[in-house]
Amino acid sequence: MRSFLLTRRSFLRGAAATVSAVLAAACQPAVVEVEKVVTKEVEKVVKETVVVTERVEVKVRDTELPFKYYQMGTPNSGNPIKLTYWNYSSTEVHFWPKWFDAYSQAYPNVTFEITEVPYTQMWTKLQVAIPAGEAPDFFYVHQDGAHWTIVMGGLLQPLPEEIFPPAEIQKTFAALESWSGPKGRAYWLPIGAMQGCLYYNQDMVQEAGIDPDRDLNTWDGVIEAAKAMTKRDAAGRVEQAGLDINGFWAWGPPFYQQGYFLWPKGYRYPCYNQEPMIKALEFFWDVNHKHQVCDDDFLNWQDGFAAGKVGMNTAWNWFTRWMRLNHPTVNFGVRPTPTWSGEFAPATGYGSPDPQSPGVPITTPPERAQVCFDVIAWLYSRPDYLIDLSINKLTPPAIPALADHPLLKTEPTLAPLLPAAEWAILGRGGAPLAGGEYGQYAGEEAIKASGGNIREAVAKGHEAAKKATLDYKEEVGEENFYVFEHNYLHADLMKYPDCD
Amino acid sequence: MAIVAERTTHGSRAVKVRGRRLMILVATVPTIFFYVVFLIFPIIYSFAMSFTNWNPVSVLIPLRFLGLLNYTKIVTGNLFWICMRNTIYYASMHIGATLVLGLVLATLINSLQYLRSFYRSVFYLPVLTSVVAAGILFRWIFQPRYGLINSILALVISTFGVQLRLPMYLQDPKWAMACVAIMTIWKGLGYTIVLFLAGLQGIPQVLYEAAKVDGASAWKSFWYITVPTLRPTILFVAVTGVIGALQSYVAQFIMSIGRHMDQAGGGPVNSTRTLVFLLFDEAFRNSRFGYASAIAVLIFIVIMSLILVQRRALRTEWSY
Amino acid sequence: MNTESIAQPVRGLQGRLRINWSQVFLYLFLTFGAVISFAPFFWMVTSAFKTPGEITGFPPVWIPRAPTFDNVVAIWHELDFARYFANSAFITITTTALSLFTSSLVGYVLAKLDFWGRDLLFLSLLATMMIPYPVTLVPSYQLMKWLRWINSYWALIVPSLYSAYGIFLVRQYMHSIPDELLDAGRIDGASEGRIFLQLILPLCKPMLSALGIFFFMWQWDSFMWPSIVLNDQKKYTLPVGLATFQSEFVVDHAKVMAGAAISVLPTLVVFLLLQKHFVAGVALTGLKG
Repeated sequence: MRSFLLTRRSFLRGAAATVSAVLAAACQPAVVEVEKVVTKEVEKVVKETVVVTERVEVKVRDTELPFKYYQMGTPNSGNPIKLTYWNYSSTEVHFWPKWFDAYSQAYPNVTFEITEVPYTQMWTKLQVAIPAGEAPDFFYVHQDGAHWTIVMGGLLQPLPEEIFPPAEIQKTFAALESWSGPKGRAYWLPIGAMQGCLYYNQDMVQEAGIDPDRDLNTWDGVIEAAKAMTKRDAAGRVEQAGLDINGFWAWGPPFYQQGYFLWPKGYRYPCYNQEPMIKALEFFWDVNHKHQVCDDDFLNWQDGFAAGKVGMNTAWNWFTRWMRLNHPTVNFGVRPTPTWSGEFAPATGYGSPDPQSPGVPITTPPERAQVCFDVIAWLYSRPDYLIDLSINKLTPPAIPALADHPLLKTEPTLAPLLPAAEWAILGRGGAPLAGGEYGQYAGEEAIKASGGNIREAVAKGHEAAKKATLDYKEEVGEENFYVFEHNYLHADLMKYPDCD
Repeated sequence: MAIVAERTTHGSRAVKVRGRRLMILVATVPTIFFYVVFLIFPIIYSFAMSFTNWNPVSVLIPLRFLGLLNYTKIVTGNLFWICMRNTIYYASMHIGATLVLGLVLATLINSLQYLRSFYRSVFYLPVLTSVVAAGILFRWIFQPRYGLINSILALVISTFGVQLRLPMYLQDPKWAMACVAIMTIWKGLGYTIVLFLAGLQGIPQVLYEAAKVDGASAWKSFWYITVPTLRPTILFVAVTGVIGALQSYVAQFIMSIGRHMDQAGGGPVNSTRTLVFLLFDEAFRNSRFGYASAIAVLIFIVIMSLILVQRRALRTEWSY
Repeated sequence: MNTESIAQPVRGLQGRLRINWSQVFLYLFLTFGAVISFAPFFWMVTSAFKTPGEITGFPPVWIPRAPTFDNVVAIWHELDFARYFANSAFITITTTALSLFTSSLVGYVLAKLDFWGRDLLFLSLLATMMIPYPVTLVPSYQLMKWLRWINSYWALIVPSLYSAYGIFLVRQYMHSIPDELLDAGRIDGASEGRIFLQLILPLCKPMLSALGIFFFMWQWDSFMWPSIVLNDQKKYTLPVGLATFQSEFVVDHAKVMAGAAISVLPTLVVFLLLQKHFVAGVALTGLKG
């Protein structure tokens, strides 16, 4: 969309503003005061040699990135060093070279060799290379599946506390506590809060006279709006679906919003067989069968929305990038995921701490690791970098200090999601095997195949997940088992379930 | 029919020739060396690891000898048997169709007077089509509402005024694997056609001419000339077909990727999860390499048994 | 090439051509199959020139409304395309030639020469095909590390030298070559080597062409092992390079399809070149008894 490109340009100006602000601030070890409105002047933008002079008003919150850049002397004592870096390929292949060049401009003795690894092969490649000692110096971490087992296997070096003081880090990155790993240390920095949200087709919404800000805040409101947007053909089959969740029964939001964690205290095994879960699944089942705003055989949530036949769907916010890239003609908007009550508390559902920072494997020798950590600290202490990363991935940052940032607010698909970001549970909701086992019985297709017998499906799924979790714990040992659901930022608002 | 009826023997021993021993050595010794280094070693390594809790990406979990624990867990769990059932179901569809259709189509193409190389080339195109592209298209074909098949069926049904519930194909546990098989048959037919076409070139034309003179019909020519002469090729296609289809997983993976926490791929209710799909997941998603190695050993045993059974059933010897 | 077709047009007594219905049905049937075979390929190739919306759109678009070269240009600019192509070409041609040679040699020896342990060797080779590939990845990689072949083309070429599939295929095909032919050669005083090179190989043209087509295609499309073993992006082969367009969630369909369409060209060319050899060896037709 055109507006996105314009934002990029104005972003560069804003980035220049913040860069010089940070540089200025870094020269004097000053403590940032509460609610200060600062006017900055801009000099030069990193890498792009655009000279801009502009006055930008940047309002900062009280903890404007307390995480400062703590440097432990010149990287590699000033000797030339070339760091190898693996990134799993993304549509932003220019991102890393740009920022690594910025670092090299600051410290010319450090250069980088980036390898773009195809996404589907990244985890296999790492799992094969690390044990053989062929790992890169550092690589871009991801929280999903196999990568998690790499972290939990103890293959990353913990972030050194001199450079990353735990207290500061925890204040800066809302998700960090939930993502600490073995021995309670942090191994990478989670900066994004990719969350489930509601996508709506602007044209259809307008046609039906719906006001997104007013009508799409609750699940009931969404159903009403969906009914208004549903059209059927002469044979009575849905031609335009008001709400299409076929293929994406994300139980997290409607479940967590009822105020219960999935895991009990002590993390024995997940309690899938809770009433809140059944209520969530019944809600999904009703979409097609009771409210009839979509058919079971209709296009799925992705294809239907892309074809312009769907009024609303619920999706992870990466969907924005996919739509922009592949279907730029569809006019769509984004809202935070609806809740039962219309309020974000106690939780909006689960998200994932994506994007993250690079991590350093244990195979990297200490001198090289030191430089890697320096790079990470240098990058992740800068607001301009964090904002660039957020905008690049179109994901709200899990950084309270940046939630109000004006540049983020100018991006129309990002702005609505910012307030909800810190209310998403960013922990891992289930052990590696349990989720799949559960889904076998109580996943969307299983429930549809059973004709909507939800209670029975959930009961069976619960038993399977319980068995899988206990088996897994026996295999890896209790001390190597990690789930971090309860480290949710607003955990005091949630209750712990109690199952058998 | 003299040439065809004669079985070739185990190679000629009667006439001693110079260079024979050298040739055997040159052919076999490097081969054995190569396989020992590049294949036997990894196989023995993982076989040994199948008795442990090997997880190469964990430094926290010490390597423990587990005996047969991995094997018993696999065999007593039900996911393995589900995958076994799925795989065998898929394999029988795939092998049966590609073998029979391939043979028939190759014979037909070979018999054409005009445009033979055109048809030869066209039928090979699916093999060249990328699996990703094929996946996208076949997902469209099988879409229950707007897809090709159901659109046509719906039209037919409405003309006859019949009320019938059309299947949901890739979302229906009863259909999903069959749909994947249809795609792989479409894609794999070109292989068998090419192989049979190459094999058909070895049949001397005099045989067909003689048969025609004797008054044989097309069918009789096919059954009594073509098929027996092609037996080595048929055996090859059948054996490699079994070995390949039982290890199939890429097509199933592409047609059934789940993007959600509770959908780890594998189709509706795991109906498109094959044995090697399971293996890959266990090895590279769950990092349980020891467990995965045990699955691999079991897969090997399954395939080997099936090949031996097949050999007995066809009553063929290897030397044909 | 004078093949007896199963059904032939028959000329009527007056010299008029009478329609042979079986042949009409034959062509109709084959044409139907040809359409089914061709359509997805056509879709893939035209996708290189479609807008992204047309590629993932529903229902599929066969002919782009406004064909564009943007996708192809984008690939060229964003990837080191020429280099990847050249890398792939080098590796594929080398391995195809080498494995064709080893397959034919070993297949011949296993079929036609008798020696102790022959059938055992063959069965063992067959058994190696029954090992699921993913399980050998970690040890194989470790082996490459010990040989210092990580990030080097040796790791791609050497493990592909021998192919049990190829050996098996050639062996089967060799059975249709009568021993009398070899004996004739031996009696004439030729050495085994000459018999193999000058007598046998030319007879195997159809099967070797088929095998060559397969080897080329499999090596050209080979993706998993190169992506794991190669760390230097400059050494990437084409499939690995093109895969960088598929990121975690957001697949750039336009570029992926453009890449797929371009990637298919060499394998198509090789097929068209080699399929001309699917013609009977002339020598065989002369044999009697």
